[in-house]
Amino acid sequence: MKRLALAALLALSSSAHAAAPWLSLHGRVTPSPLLLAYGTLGGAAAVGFSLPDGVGLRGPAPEERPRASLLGEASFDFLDRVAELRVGRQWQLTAPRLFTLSATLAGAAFFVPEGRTDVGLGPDGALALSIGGDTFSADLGLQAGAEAFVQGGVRFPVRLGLGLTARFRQWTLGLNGRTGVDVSPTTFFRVRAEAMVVAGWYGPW
Amino acid sequence: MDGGSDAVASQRFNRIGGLAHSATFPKACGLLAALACLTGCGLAAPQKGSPLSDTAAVADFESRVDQTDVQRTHVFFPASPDGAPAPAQVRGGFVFVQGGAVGTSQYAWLAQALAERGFVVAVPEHDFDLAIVSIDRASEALRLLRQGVRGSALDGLLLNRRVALGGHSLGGVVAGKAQTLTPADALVFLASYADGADLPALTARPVPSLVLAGADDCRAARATVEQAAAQLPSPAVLSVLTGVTHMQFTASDAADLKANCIPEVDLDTAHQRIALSVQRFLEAVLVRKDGSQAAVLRGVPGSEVSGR
Repeated sequence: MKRLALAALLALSSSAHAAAPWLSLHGRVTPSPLLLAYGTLGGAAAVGFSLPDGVGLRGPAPEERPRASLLGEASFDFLDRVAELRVGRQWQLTAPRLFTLSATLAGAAFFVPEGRTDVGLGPDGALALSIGGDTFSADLGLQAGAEAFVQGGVRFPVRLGLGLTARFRQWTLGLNGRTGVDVSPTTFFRVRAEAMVVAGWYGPW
Repeated sequence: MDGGSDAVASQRFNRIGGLAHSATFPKACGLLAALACLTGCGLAAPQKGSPLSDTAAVADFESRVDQTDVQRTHVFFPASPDGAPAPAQVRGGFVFVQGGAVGTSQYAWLAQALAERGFVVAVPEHDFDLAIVSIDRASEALRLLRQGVRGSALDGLLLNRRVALGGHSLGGVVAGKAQTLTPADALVFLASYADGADLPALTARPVPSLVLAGADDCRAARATVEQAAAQLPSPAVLSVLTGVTHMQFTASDAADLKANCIPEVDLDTAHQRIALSVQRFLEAVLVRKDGSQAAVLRGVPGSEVSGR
């Protein structure tokens, strides 16, 4: 019941997550540690990790599949020249079957070094449904957040994402597309869309 | 500076910057230098432009918008043959918003023509070439022209000059919306008109406007444009150019020809008449401010003009 309430809260949230994350679009908590790198058509590059509970970086895989994970992503947009750091916690809300649901709560930090130098902080959340298994999955995710900048004010990003992911032994490849808006008190809204290609490497190593 | 004074200066810097240990200083400098290189060392604000002719140049400016985005704006301005700005030639400014899914380069001919006649023209870029998804970009371009960037080609270039806002097709609609956010001194709709939802705000704060239409426009029908133009607050001028089609406001009318929308005048003639109409309107409302816009537009060949 608690899980359902959390899922409903995130789905109905008028504000929540935004700009970087690939990991929170995934409905399944990774069964083992994952390192990844991705690039977007918009000119950003990022690295990230998923570290499931109870799984060491070098140790053997646990007997029971992890139900939660620590996520982290760091990205830099080379066209807009903005750095972004995001750390979060992902919980798998249902048993890993054909349809698997997960929720993520995270915090993001931004650094804008040029022009009007600025920093931003904000919480975000995501709800993702995964269809498939560990080898191949299609993921549908809703992300929303609130981001407050010292100089730039506040914005409320909302994104809908669709991803396809395939795993080949220890390697994984993915293609994600996201679209949505940034709602802002000063500029009404900004439509956003991006596509990203992801390559990852599963541990333990 | 000798070694002793170097040390003193370093200590002073450490005190000012709050860096307690001298060993931290070179590390911090290294990090800052790396970050500066990574970020491209600042937003673009050139002192000169690339010459387009003996009297006009273009330069690309960057500004920070929407918290994390970099907006790129092409600025065409009166210049000397080497691309240096010519402030003495400047008579006013014009922010021009691109039409829907039409690249900004398609309007370089108009921007250059106006720059050669004394106007500083800012053409902001938009994601997906759709200005409607980021209306505030026109407002930012307006701010860029009015405030300039210190030490750049725009520094003081439009000091105490008036600035108009306009666009082609969907860009005109966006210009009307941007006017409700950050008012300019005049409005120009090329084969376009204001969104009815914006009319109350535009009427509450009226500025001189021009609706310039093509008589053979197959996309923005003449009757629709005329009807919408009649809704604008006065002083408003409607000028319909004989034989001109919708895409002749851009660099190429190939899309019209492909759609069997055949113009009665060739592209060069259309461009001359469009540029002359906009130029005369801007001169009347930004420079002379004498209410002569309808009268001077009647002198443009192939135009039917009505003013209120």
